[in-house]
Amino acid sequence: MTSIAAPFLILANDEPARVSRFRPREEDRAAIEACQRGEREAFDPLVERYQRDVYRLCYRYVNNHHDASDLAQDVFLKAYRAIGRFRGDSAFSTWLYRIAVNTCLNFRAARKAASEELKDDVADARRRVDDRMEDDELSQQVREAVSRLPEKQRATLILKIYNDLTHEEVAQVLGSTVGTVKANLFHALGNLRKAMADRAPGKRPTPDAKKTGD
Amino acid sequence: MWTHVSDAALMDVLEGAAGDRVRDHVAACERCRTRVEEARTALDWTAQATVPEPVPSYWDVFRRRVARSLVEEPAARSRRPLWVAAAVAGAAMIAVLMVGPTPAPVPPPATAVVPLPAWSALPPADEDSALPILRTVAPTVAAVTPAVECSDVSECVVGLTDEESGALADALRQQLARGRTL
Repeated sequence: MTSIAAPFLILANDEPARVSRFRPREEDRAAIEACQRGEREAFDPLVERYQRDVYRLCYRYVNNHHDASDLAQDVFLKAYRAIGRFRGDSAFSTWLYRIAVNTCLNFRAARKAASEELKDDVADARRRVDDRMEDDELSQQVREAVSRLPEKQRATLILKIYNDLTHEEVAQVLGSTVGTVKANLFHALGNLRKAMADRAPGKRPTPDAKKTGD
Repeated sequence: MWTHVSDAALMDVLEGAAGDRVRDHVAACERCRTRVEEARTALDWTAQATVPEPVPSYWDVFRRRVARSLVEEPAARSRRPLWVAAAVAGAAMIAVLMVGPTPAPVPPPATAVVPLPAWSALPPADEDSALPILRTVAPTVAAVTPAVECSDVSECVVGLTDEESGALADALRQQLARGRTL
């Protein structure tokens, strides 16, 4: 089965959290209801409100601007297609992040299937483009280490730390429990620590490096 | 017996949300304390891993790209149009009247119904104006869609893909044609 053609495949096996205390924000609700009435332009404020968060989430999966941009656009397109089925049982952002995580997972699964040669060529080209963007070595090292974490741990860490979701919200997005989210996050941090420690000593970052700007 | 606390509880310690029992254990247990400190170090690193920010004008470009892609999409609706359900129900009723209760064997649809994503939901039953119509024709539609697995026919019909809808329509047409020749 081609993963990219089966969105929401990977996480759909898990039972989602049924009870939510996170309702859509009022400003989201009006836009969502307008979209559900068929007002296409009502989707624009939702894009404007969440585009940065969705883009950053995607970036943390793919580590380059080009793919992150395409994926973020795909996420909003899927959200628009499905918004008729959004009933407000969760925050719109939670729902949107779930679509984003699944889209990213499917993208990675499909890319894994591509030939190594092509993947390397594209990755090299994109890395050159990304190098022109403002960045620093430590940021890149940590991002790469995060992107190599096991899928559940990576998703948990990204949603909790970078998208600032609560444990309950992460559990909703990933169809998991709060206890599992906490355990996955702790494992993710442990693995991240190990991955960074395994790097060449000369390149190993330390928390002090941030303070000195190195 | 000395037992270590769970990883979830250690995460609580890291976030300052642990209870006294867990905190006391970590204070006394070198292994757990080390694990918490290592996780804290990693947490510090994650805070430094910022995503390169595109130029501010990028976001306007991005929104326009999304808006352009939406133009090609059918307008989103909260529920399926009533005429679709009415058309299916009408076709099924005609089939019942013309053919009678014995269903002819029909090849199963080419693809299985994809389960609705976990986050999606149909309109509540008490708000779904199409549901009574679909329930009326449920036995007939169930008879011509043997390969579809769902709890009731309304769910089956709603969950049909375009291909499956086509297959159902073809089956109904065949039934109608047979009825005319009897």
